[in-house]
Amino acid sequence: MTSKSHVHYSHRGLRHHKISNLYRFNVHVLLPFFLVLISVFVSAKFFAFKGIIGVGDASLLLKAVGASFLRLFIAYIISLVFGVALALLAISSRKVESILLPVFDILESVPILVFFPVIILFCVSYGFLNAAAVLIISLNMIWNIVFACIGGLRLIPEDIAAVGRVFRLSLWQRFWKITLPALFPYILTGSLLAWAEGWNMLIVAEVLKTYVSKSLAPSDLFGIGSVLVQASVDADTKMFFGAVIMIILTVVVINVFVWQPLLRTSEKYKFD
Amino acid sequence: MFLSGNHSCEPLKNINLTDIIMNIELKNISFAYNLETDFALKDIFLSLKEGTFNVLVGRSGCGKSTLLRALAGTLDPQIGEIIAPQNISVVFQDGALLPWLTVYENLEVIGAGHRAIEEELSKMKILDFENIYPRNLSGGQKQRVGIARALVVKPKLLLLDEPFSALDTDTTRSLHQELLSIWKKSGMTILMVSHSVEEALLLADKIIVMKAGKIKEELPLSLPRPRSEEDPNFLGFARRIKKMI
Repeated sequence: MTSKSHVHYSHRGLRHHKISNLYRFNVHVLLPFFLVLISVFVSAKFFAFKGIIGVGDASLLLKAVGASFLRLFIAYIISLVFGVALALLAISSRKVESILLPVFDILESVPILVFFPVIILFCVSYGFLNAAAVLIISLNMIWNIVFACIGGLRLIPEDIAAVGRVFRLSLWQRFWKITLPALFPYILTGSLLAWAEGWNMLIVAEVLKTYVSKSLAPSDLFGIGSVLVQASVDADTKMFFGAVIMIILTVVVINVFVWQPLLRTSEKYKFD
Repeated sequence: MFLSGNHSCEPLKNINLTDIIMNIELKNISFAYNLETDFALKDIFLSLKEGTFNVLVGRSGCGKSTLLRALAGTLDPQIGEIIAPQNISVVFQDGALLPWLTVYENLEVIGAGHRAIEEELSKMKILDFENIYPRNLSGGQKQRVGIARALVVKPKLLLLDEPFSALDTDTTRSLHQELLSIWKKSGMTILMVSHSVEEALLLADKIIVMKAGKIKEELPLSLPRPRSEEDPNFLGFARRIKKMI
């Protein structure tokens, strides 16, 4: 992350102050992330304090939700990068669009569980449990981002798209300075849906270890989803409800501290 | 620096083309958005003398904006050759400003330096709005930013795509005067698309009338400036052009 801050002076004093990228990263990424962590941590301690669950269980739930969040985050980043790239590829020409869009439509409508045997065969059986979980979550998340971005790319006004070419910006500059910001509101909408589906798929993804031999460590694919399933198997009602509440709480806190501020910011990126 | 041939051609080496080619030439240009349907531009031959103010007029859908885009290099004609300077700039219909950037950043994003930005914003009387986002500007102010952005790259050829069509009469008149003043000082070539014959007569050295993708007439104007809409010659030209459209 490079810090790029410019302060320009003219005869009328301070004229232009550009917000640095480091400041943007702190405000839009680190601060919400920190607030989510604090909120979830305080809530877990509250449950433990009230005696709803034991202190050890609260700590376990915190670790589980952290592990799951990390898994979802990695799957999301993969979906985001490939999703935007696939959308750009799909609308690169009418010919490519006529081929790729029907393919995307079919792939999106195929239930994710169809890929289960293949994933188990290639990833789980070789011990790549986390890779398998991330892959299965990514496959579920990606189409929301792809279709949101395709819709967004079609809505970029012709003149705005022409600005980069007329003023001779490089392909990368056109993507970074025009296309990506113009896509921001659509990426955000796709991301919201992707995360919602990601939480759903998480529980399925984190029980993948049941498909492998017992030689694997019990900590494999540890997360809030696996805790939830284990509590259900063990008929541990307290732990089960603790896990459910922890998922709901995490989703709400992420929504309040991450998505809502980003949705407000995205208004600035919309065309009139 | 001038380029020879269409936009994809490499510059010719060892020849200073600036000394030879002074005009902008469109030779036998034809373009179709879809080759199965009709051509949007058909057999266009056009020559624009360097330093002149030219206005393209015609009905909606006659190919004015398509011709402008072909010159700007944002679409490639299937047939023909364009000889045009390398540094072309465009003023778009509604400014085409990036809404997430301030006025200053809209000029900075195309690679302009601080001094050049402040100079152009000052010239267009919008320096005080440099930290304002486009959505908080009026139509006239947005168009001033659009013109400032187009001028900041010091173009040899300035293309304007119906830049004043959405503005009120007073703002349009004021911007006409400023555009004429900038053009006289800079000596650049201008090609503007307009649906208003009166606007074309107020500004142009040459009016190019387009109809159904073809150039119907090129009318060099010798009316002295400043021009008046009450001038009988002006009215005579206006009647003649309107009959052609």
